[in-house]
Amino acid sequence: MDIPKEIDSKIDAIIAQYPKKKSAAMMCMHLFQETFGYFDDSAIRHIASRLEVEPIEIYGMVSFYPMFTQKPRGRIHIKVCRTLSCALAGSYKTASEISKAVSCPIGETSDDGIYTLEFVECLGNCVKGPNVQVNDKLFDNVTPDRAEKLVDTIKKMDSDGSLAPLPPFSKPAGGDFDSPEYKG
Amino acid sequence: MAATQKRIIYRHIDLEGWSADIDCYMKDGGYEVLKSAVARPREELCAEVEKSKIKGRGGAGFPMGMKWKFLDRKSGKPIYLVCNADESEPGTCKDRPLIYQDPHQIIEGIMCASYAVNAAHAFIYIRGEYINGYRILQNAVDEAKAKGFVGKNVCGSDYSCEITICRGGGCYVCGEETGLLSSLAGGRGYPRIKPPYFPAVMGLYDCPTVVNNVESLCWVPQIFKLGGEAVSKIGVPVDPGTHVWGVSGQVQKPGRYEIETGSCKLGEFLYDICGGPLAGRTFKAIIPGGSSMKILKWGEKFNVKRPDGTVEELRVEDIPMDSASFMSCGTAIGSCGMIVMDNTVDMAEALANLNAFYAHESCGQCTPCREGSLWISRITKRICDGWGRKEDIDLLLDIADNICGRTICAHGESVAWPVQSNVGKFREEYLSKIERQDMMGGQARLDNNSYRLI
Repeated sequence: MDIPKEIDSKIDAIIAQYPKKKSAAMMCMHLFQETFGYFDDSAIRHIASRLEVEPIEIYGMVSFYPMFTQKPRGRIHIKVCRTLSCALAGSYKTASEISKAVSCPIGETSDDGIYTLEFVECLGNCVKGPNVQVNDKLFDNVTPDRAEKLVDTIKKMDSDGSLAPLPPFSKPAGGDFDSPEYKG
Repeated sequence: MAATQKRIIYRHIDLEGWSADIDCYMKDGGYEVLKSAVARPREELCAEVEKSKIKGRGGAGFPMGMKWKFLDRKSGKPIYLVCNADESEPGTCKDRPLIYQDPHQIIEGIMCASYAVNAAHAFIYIRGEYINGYRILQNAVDEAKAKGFVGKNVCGSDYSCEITICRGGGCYVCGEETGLLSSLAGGRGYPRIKPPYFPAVMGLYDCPTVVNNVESLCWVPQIFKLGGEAVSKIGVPVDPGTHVWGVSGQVQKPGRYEIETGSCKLGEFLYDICGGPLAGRTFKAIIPGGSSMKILKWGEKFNVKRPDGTVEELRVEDIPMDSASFMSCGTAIGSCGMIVMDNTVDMAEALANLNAFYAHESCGQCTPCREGSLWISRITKRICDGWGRKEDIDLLLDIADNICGRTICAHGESVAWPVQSNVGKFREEYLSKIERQDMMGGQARLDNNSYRLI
C-alpha cells in the first residue's frame, strides 16, 4: 500500500506522547487500521521501522488483537455481541435476522464486498442487550424483532454518508452518536 | 426496608442538562479537590486513602490504599499511574457511562492519585470498542490541559504530569493488570508472572506502577474531599463505599444501579430496584459479578459463620450486598456485573456461551488454560448440540480442577470457576439433558421459549 506523508506526521504526534517509542504501537496500529482498513506487509514494516522494532513484533500484535485485520473488511462492518447478557436477550437470533436481511453469512464478507458481519465478544453495554456495533457506532436493544429495522436504518445512513466512520483523531461526536435513534 | 439507590460516583450520570464538557463539570465544583490536594503533603493523602479502606472496583477487590503502599518508592525509577478502562468482563458495563458522560470526574481522579503517588506520567488504557469514548476522553484531557489541571505545573504547583490515552485492541486479557502493561508497553497483551512482575515494583517499563480501575480512581477525589474516615463509614466497615451494579439478563428493569454496600439484601435488590423476574417466570440462577465469578442458584442455602463463631443459615435472597457476604457464600462480587437467569434458561447453554468466550480470549501462554478452555468449550458445545455423554460431567470438572491455580494470570480461574459452580450446582439438569438426548438428539433443549445461547 502507499503510505502518504501525513501518516508519518501523525505517527510522530503519537510517539511524542509516550516515554518510550515502542509504546506508541497500539495507537499507530489503530491509525493504520482506521486509515487503510487492513494491514499488509508494507504497513507492518513501516510501523516497525518508525518504532524501531522488528517487523515480527508488529506482526505478532496484528495477529493477536481481534480489532486488527490482514484482510480488508466490508464498508459496513457489523459486529453483533454474542456474550451471555446479549445472548439472553436474543443476540443469536438478531444476528441470523441481520444475516438474512443483508445476505451475508455470519463471520464473512458479503459477495459484493459491502458488508462484513461478525460475532464479537462483550461490547461493554450489557444492560441494554443485544448490542450491535456498526463501524464506530453502537446500537443497543436490537432484539430479533428490531433487526430488520436496524438494517433499514443502516442502509439509510449508508446512503446519506452518516454511517462512514469518523477519521482517526476526530473530535467526539454528539450525544446521540452511539445508539442513534432508529424506530423499532 | 425497601432498597434504594445512593449515587456518589454516578451523581452526574443521566442527569438532565449534564454534559461531558469541562465548564459543566467545573460549575458543579469540579477540580476544586485537585486544587486543594496539590497543596497538601503526599503522605497525608496516601494515609487518607488507606484510612478509607476502599477496595479496588476492578474485580479483585484489593484495598486501594494497600496497593499504593506497596509502591517501590526507593528504587529511584519513575512511578507510573495507569487507569484501567479496559472493561471487558461480560456483564460489566459500569465504567462506560463515566467515560461517556463524566470524563472529567475520571481525569480529576487520575490527577489526584498521580499527585499523591508522585507519578511521572499517567495513562488511560481504554478498550478499543469504546471508540467515541476514546474521543470524549481525549477531548476532556485536552480541555483539562488548557485549564492547567493536567500537564506542566498542575494547578500552579511544581508538580507536572501528562495523561496519555491508549486504546486496546479488543482483547480481554488486557484488562488483567500485567497484560494491560504488556500491551501498553507495545506488544502482545501477555500477562506476566508474579513474582517478580508485581506492578507496584516491576510494572510498566519495569518501573513501579499503580494500576487502578476507573471507578476506584473516581473515589480518590471523594476521599480527599470527605476524608478517609468519613468514606470508611459509608456502607459496611469491611467493604465501605458504594457499588455500581450493572444488572443484565432476565429482570424487569436491567440497568446500572449505585447502592451503598450492605444497604440491602440480594432479594430486595432484585425485586425493589430491578423489578423482579419477567412476567410469569421465576429466577433460576445469578452470576453476581462478571461472568467469571461462581454462579448462585436461586433457592440455595448457605451455612455462614458469624464473627462470634455461631453458624447461621442464609438463603440466597438474604445475602447482604457487600463483598464480604458474597465471599462467605463461596462467590465474589467481582466487578459487580450481575447476570440474572430465569427458569427458561438452559444452564448448559449458558455455560457453553461463557466457555466459548473464555476459549476465544485465552492468550495462549499457559498450556492448561489454552488447551483446557478450548476443550471445555468443545464439550459444552457438544452437550448443547445433542451429543453429550454422561461422563462429560465429570470430565468437565476434572479439566476445570486442573486449570485452576496453574496459570500465570487469573484467566485460568475465570475459565474454571463458572464450570465448577455451574456443573456442581446444576448436575441433575445436565444429567437429565444428556439422558433425554439419547432419544431426541439435538432437540433436547430445556425450554424452547427462550433464545438459543450458543
